[in-house]
Amino acid sequence: MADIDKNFMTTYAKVATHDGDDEPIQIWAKDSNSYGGIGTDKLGIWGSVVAVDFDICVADGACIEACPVDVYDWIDTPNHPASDKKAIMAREPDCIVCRACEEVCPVTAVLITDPADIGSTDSATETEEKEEKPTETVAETQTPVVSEATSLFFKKPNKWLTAAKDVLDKEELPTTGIEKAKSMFKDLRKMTLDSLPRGKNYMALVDNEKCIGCTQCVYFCNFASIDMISWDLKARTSQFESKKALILDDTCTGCTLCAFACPVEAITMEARV
Amino acid sequence: MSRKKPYSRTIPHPLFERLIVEDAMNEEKNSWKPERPHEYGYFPGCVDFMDVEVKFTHLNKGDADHASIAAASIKLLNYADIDPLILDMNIFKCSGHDQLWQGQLEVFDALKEHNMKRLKESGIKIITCSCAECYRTFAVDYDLPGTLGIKVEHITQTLQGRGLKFKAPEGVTVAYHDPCRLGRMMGEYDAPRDLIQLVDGATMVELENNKERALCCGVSSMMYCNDATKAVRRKRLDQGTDAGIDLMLGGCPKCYMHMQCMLNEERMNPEEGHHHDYEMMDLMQFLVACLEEKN
Repeated sequence: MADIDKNFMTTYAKVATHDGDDEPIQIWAKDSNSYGGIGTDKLGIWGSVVAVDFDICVADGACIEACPVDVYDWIDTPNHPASDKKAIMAREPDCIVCRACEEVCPVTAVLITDPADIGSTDSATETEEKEEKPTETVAETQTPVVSEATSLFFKKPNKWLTAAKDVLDKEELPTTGIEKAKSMFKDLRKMTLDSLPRGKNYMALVDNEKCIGCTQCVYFCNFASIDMISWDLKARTSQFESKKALILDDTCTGCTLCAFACPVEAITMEARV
Repeated sequence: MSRKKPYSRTIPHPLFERLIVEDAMNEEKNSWKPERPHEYGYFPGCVDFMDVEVKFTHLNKGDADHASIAAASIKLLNYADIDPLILDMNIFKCSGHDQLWQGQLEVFDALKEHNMKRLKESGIKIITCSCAECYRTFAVDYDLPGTLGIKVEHITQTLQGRGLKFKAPEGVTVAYHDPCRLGRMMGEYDAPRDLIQLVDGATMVELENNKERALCCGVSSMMYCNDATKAVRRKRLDQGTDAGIDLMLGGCPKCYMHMQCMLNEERMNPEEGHHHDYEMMDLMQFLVACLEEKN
């Protein structure tokens, strides 16, 4: 079975919604004929930020285990060939975009989209559905305010790399081990998740004695919760300055990604008080 | 690199190197035999592992794609009528360059032992690598020509002088950034430059420091990226701006990764005022983008 369609937000149509805990869950399908409702074999893609292709989902449960904030629940889908239950994103607004579920899914049925990246289409959707504002307003919300630098960065891909990829896509070249790398990465991620307490009641803490200032955690954090601050260290001959990671508690969601990235095990998960 | 005794201190390394260490320690006893004999073997190295990590972190806010270096190399080898045996990571393991240079000697020895065994089984005559570090490791630290009689080539040397033709889709000014392992350590400066010269429509300029005097990308063996190494990299990138280039080409995936990471970081923080208006690419990716369809 193929992976989830990465461009489903543009190529698929919205066919129905399903009740979530707080907000309704959007259901997407190629057209209204390819969605049959629960109890049939045509289920389409459920969710927007947390999108799961129910036609691919095999109810492995890896995403439910991996999710640090309990976004998923089980939903019964009798008569579906892939599995008779699916992981439904009942608490989709809680998603912290840590992509843990995307990484562990054995059949690549999960696609997490940063709400900021789909900002324009998303806000338009919400306006259309919930408030039914006149079209002019919708058009306005569709042009999000993006600073010049950001748009330059995200909207100017390397055309040479794109050209190279176009040539490479044309023919089937042998894989060189990316599948092996992916599965090893997933295993390691799962091991970290299993070994650490996580979720909203926990936050990461850095042990300054162990931190070597390598900034790996900064690159992994999805919420800009980690900052590097300067510390004066005493060495035998002279004093020198080094940087240490500092977790900002108001934005830390307890997703364990920084602990996963830390090469010296300087980050631990501690219960919030 | 001469070595007598292991160092006592381990040096931290990114996630994908943790995976490689894990891979190294899984001893495989099974024997393996390629389906048919090949003269050439192509070794992709750890680009796939790097790719997986880079896609997971914020380092990939740009569009760096390391796995495409391996795909591009295979495509170019096929284009040059070479049918290489793909020495992929399912059968082989990382060459162990970083582990050796970080002092993780037992890991390096495990990797080397596995790869030597597999190379013996593969029956290839020439091994070609798209990574300058693998090239050096196989040629010097494994001493393949001396031990197994396998000739070691960098992919630019393999592709050189095979009458290839490339055409750039549009006019472009490029500069070649010499990787330390390929240049200063192995003394290969001309093969990549000859290849770039084959591209119709590409103008090659030299950066202020080139060949033996080339500046470093700043991070040797993925050890530690900090303000000091970033300063080295920025100096190199500034030379690119001075030369007025559209693309900087490298022969080592690590140079690609570090330079592109820096360019991305600068674009994410425009308020700091450092900006280099060009892209870094691996030479193989550039050549594939300029590939002419064969008649």
